[in-house]
Amino acid sequence: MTQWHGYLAIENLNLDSTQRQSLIDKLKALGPESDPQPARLNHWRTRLDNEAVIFEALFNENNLTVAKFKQRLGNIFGVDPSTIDHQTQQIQYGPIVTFSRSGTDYLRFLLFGGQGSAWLASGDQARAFIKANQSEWEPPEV
Amino acid sequence: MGVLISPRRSIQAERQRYDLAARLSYDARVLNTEPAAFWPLSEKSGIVTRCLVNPSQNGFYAGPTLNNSTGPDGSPCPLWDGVNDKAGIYTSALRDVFDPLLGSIFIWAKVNAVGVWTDAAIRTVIQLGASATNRIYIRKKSNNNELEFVYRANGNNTLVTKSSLSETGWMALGLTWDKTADEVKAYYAGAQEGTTQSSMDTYSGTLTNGRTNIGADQSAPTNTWHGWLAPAAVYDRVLTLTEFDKLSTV
Repeated sequence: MTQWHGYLAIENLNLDSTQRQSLIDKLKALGPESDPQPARLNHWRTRLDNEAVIFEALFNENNLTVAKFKQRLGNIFGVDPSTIDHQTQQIQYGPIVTFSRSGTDYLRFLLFGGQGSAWLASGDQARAFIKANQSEWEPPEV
Repeated sequence: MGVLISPRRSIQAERQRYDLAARLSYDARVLNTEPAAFWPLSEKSGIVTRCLVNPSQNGFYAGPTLNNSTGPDGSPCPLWDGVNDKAGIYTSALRDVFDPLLGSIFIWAKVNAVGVWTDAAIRTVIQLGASATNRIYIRKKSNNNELEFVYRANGNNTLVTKSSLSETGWMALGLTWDKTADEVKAYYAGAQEGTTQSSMDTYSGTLTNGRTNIGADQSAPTNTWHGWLAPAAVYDRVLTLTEFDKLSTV
């Protein structure tokens, strides 16, 4: 089991509210049950429209694979995970995977800094991502 | 005949006692100013943000890296990552002692690197608030190199801005508010910053969980601090210039 301390994001594309919450609840449960450092315990921030979340934790990398996400989505939809498609792209912040089924995109998953990146490097990408999408993630300055 | 202690062991023991006394003395000095709440932020592990005035005012850490560096008083201090870290300090006990019409805040802050001053992000040092339109806070603005000290009531800000900042060391920050006197004052490094502000609007509401944090604006969390934060205290009275000067001296 390889542990990785870093940041990841998910973005809901077409899950309904029940499906979205089910997925978020599963992701919130990842990471250690206890750790002396709060930074390694799973914690998150939510986009202002509640349709995306950035998580940080000491993750078991086996839980962050495409197969695992397909399994989670399969459970949520009540279908065989093999019927869920995915497409991976490399963007400036890290690899981004889009999951779809029957031609409809349902979820994006972004691993800041990429697999195995150092915590600081992953954080740099998360900060850069928030900065680039500031109007969606931060309330307006008043 | 008593046990002989080697000179080296006795010097080491004396040094440890001195170091412990030095660390305790800053906390003791803050406590001697009789804050309504005081969080040293010096924990080395765990999720509890201890309040030395009243454990019912203990908060919780969500994300900061504890014992990441040394604070201005030589104690351990946490790092906020500028992504999703906060210390939630709302409690019913704090709500009941906090006075939005008369009070003070004091806290130490340090940016992660000089680039934070030009990262175009709002970064909250501390906020105590009821709502978006009624809150009291110190934060880095999105404008380059600026801090603001804000009393926001009924959607209107009474504030002081400190500009041209590129400080990468510890900053002692303070804010006082007095609705009766109609005065808001900001403090930086033990001295009043700018002029006394007036025309305070009417504050309404009590502290809420969503708006009462160290190192973040809302509980999402949003507008998070990127750097280190160290001893933070809240008062139900207006601290004097002399008191801020003493708190700012370590």
